[in-house]
Amino acid sequence: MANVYLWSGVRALVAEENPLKIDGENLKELLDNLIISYPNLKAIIQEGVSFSVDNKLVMSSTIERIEENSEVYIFQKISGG
Amino acid sequence: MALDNENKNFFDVVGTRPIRPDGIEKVTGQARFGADAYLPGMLHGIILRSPHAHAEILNIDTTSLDNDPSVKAIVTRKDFSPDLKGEDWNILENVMADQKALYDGHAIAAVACSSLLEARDAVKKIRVKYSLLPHVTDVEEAMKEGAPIIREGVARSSVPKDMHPNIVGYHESGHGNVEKGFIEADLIIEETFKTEAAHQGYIEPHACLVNMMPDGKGEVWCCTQGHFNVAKVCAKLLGTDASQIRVTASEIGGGFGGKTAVFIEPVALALSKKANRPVKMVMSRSEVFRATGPTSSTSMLVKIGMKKDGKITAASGTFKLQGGAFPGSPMAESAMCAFAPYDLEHVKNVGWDVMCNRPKQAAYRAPGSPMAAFAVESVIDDLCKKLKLDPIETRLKNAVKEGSKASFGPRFERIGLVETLESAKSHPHYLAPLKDGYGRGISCGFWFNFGGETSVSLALAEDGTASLSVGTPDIGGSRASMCQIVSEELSIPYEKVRATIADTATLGYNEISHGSRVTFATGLATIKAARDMKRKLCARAASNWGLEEDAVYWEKGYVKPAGPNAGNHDPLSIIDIAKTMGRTGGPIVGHFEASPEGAGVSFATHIVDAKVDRETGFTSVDRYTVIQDAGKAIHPAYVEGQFQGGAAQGIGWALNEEYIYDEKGVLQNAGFLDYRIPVASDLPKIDTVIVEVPNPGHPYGVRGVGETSICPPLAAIANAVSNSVGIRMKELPMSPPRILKAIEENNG
Amino acid sequence: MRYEAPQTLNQAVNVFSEFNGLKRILAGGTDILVQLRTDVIQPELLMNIKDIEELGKIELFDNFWKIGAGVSAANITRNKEFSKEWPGITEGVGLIGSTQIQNRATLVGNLSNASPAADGVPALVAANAMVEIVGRNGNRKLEILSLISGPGKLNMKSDEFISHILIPRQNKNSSDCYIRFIPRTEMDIAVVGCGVNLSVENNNISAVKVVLGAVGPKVIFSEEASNSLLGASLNADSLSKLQEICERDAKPIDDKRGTIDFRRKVAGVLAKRAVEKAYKRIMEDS
Repeated sequence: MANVYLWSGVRALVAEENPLKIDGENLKELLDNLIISYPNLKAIIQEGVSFSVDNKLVMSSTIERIEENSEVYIFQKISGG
Repeated sequence: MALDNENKNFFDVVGTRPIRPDGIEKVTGQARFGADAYLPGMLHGIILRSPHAHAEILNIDTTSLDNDPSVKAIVTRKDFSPDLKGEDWNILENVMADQKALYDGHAIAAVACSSLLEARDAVKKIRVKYSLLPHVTDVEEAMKEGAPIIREGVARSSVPKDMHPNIVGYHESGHGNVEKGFIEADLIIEETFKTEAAHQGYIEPHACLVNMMPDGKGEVWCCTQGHFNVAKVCAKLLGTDASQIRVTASEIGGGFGGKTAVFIEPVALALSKKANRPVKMVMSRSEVFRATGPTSSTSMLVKIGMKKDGKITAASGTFKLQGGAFPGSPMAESAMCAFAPYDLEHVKNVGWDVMCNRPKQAAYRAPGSPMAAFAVESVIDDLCKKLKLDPIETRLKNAVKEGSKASFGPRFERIGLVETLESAKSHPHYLAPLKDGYGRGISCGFWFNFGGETSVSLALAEDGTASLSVGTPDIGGSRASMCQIVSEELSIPYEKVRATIADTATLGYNEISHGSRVTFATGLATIKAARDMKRKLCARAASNWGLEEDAVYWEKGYVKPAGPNAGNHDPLSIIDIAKTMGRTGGPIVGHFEASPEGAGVSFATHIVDAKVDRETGFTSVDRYTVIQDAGKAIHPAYVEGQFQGGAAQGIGWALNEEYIYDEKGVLQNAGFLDYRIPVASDLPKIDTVIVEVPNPGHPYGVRGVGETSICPPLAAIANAVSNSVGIRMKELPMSPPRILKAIEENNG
Repeated sequence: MRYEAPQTLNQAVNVFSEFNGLKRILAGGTDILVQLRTDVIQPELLMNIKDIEELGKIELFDNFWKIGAGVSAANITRNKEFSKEWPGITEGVGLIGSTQIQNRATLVGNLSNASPAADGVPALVAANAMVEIVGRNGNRKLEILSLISGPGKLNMKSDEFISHILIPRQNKNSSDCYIRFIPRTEMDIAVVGCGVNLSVENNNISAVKVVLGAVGPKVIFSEEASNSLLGASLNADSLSKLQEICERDAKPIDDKRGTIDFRRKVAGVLAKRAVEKAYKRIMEDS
């Protein structure tokens, strides 16, 4: 189970302690499982998100591997110039 | 043979300053930019633009052109794909208006004629019937009750339900409890700040030459930061296949984020499709200002609490950014970058995305971060002054380092903020006494940096030289850096490598040259492609010798037998292998395709001395020093150029650049005369210090450098100006009328 | 559009006066070509006067300088004798556009464009310069203040155009000066400009003309400001009085280049600085 931290603006939607405990071998599986557990996050996640996995910033690639007890932060999608 | 993930610490070529490979074409005027393309029979396209800030389009009457033989095609919105959604629809709506003109300059229709003069005349004959709507161009006004609503129902799901309908995005992040943190503070300062929209000010206007053939094949030549994206967007807007639109990127006369967006290429393709002829379009400077993508204007509220010893106890900020008549302003980036340089126990970042009747904002170097830094670093400067603290020591006391929790969530990997501050502290500029009447300003800045889809191909020629194809337009010297990287990896001279920006039919998808990603991501891909080639060279030599692949190894441009058991063979050079490759197994090509992450964030510290003429409000910037962490500078001269360019653009944005709308919402300064970017004589010599704290996510330690350099200048200059006049300047630009007004209000 | 390039002044007068539609003169072209490109104007006749030899000369007569309508700004600033005698007029001409623009642009063009912000004009007015106008009925001379009637407007009949600028010889113990305010350091249009022509006798100001640019529909000769200095010595009091009157006499508008308040204040500051600079020039020469 990874520890998943959402940005505070959407924590109200999950009404639970931060972090959430979510399964997944990579970011894609983790996002799928997150939406299964919290269907009301679906729209927000589809609008675009970026991540950090164990402090490595991951802007869009969802193949990033997740370890047991990994710390995953999910942000609103960030883009550059 | 651990070639793949080997991190390099010692370099032969990387870190040197060879001459640029595109130098001769550029200085002799032979480089071909967007407008330097011609085809037999080509037409010229011109866009009719709305003179109104907000209006319903009742009717577009083109009957006066019906019998005009010079008019070869007319297009309106109905000539584009009808079933787009989300951001694709937004892009189309910006490229060509549907029911409403949403800003002064919004495209309404376009014509193509045999000559430019005919096209200019023809477009004037189109009669458009508008019904004017109330408009709003100011970010705060747009959120007031009664403000015209730009578009209903576009608010993202994260926007709290009770907010104004023009607020279409909401971001909130942070940690701790700021209320608790503020109680612990000895001094709290809370201030509001405003910044006006600035344009990237690239010297080359958008230009393209396209040809859409009857069988659906399209060819596009254009100046862009991302030709693969142009192909994707054009295909969507025209309802065709991305692979059928082959886009070639021209040389580019500046982009700075503004050429990540698509404006004229789909229109030119639609005209070409109708006329069955090639169509060329070149924006005028006025069109560039009115209808491309300047950055957001902002209104910001920042509150910071500090202990007497300089420790920040809590910080909060609300960053309201208007992004024009479309959702998507970089407010989350503002919010997340604002306090990123500081290690805070209690922090809250809030961002609002606000719509109003202005052009759709586009990226501009570290979108969102410079404005946020302006607000935050101004408040820190005031706190330091009131508490009689040194601005660099105070920033050092709070600076983030490896393992610090970032204001946006995770902990930082290895970073170089402290190193830039330490370097600033001992820099001759900071140690020099301040001249009479001058103010000194310090600011830090932060940017994320990006990776993204990258695909490169490295081909070996029969003479042992190498040809590298990349898919990221060279906006900051990347061809030189890439040639250095190939030279470094293959141990062949820099001059023996040629880097080309390949078209969209040649390589896999490449993300736009944006987010300071190219030297990181294309560089990483080039390293891996070169290592792929080395592996193939080793395999070829082994096969030539009748050995297993692991019985040979690579050393400085040669394949050698691994040991006595491998037999007695003379080492084979790249040239030896290349000469015979055609008959020993075929061409040798190294390649790499991936979406690398781990770009490595970067920080900078800037020092500025400026003096204000108290009688006229005129600011002269006398001395400027940029200190930034580059991770590893591949070509230091280009890195310094990026540092200086960020400072130069920051000086313009801070002092004079602004979008000025009149009461009708019409842009008043759509030209370089009254949109005042700095001229050479406005700028001091900009000193640079390259700090190198390697990025753990890159084999050479590279971090992006293009954007971080524009994060601190607004704040650093504002701090210098405020210190010179003794008044806190809270609104950008700090143009002479604004400064003189502040001085007079302060006097009386 | 008809294009003509007459070779003599007589031919030019004939071509221009006989054409009845919308017409413009092309000298340097640095204003007209921009206006053509941006559709500000679409003349039916464009008459190039650069080929006319007598309009391309700077001539010195006993008591005046005569500058042809085809003389480029660069040729004026490069003329050592003229620029030594009229450093202020030269300063104004040297601020038009950029170095490249000045190789094409003409002072007469700068004047004819009748922009309130024209850098070439205030110092000309301060120097009591006149223009020579040619037309169907021969030549006439006109003071510059009377020539300009408003933004972009000249008091000339449709058959007339300016052939020369006539500038008197500078007096003894006199000098002039032009300074302007722009938010940049070069390549810009005056937000406020000020031209001053000053004569000094026994350390007191014996003659003075203070002229403000870009703070009204046309260049403003501030008679009151000028009179306030007459007979006075240059000191903090006289300068602050001058500054105050110029602030008052300026009649600017609010626009993208500056606010009313700002322009008034800066008009006063520039007047003060221009007078000081002209005074310093006289002192250095004597």
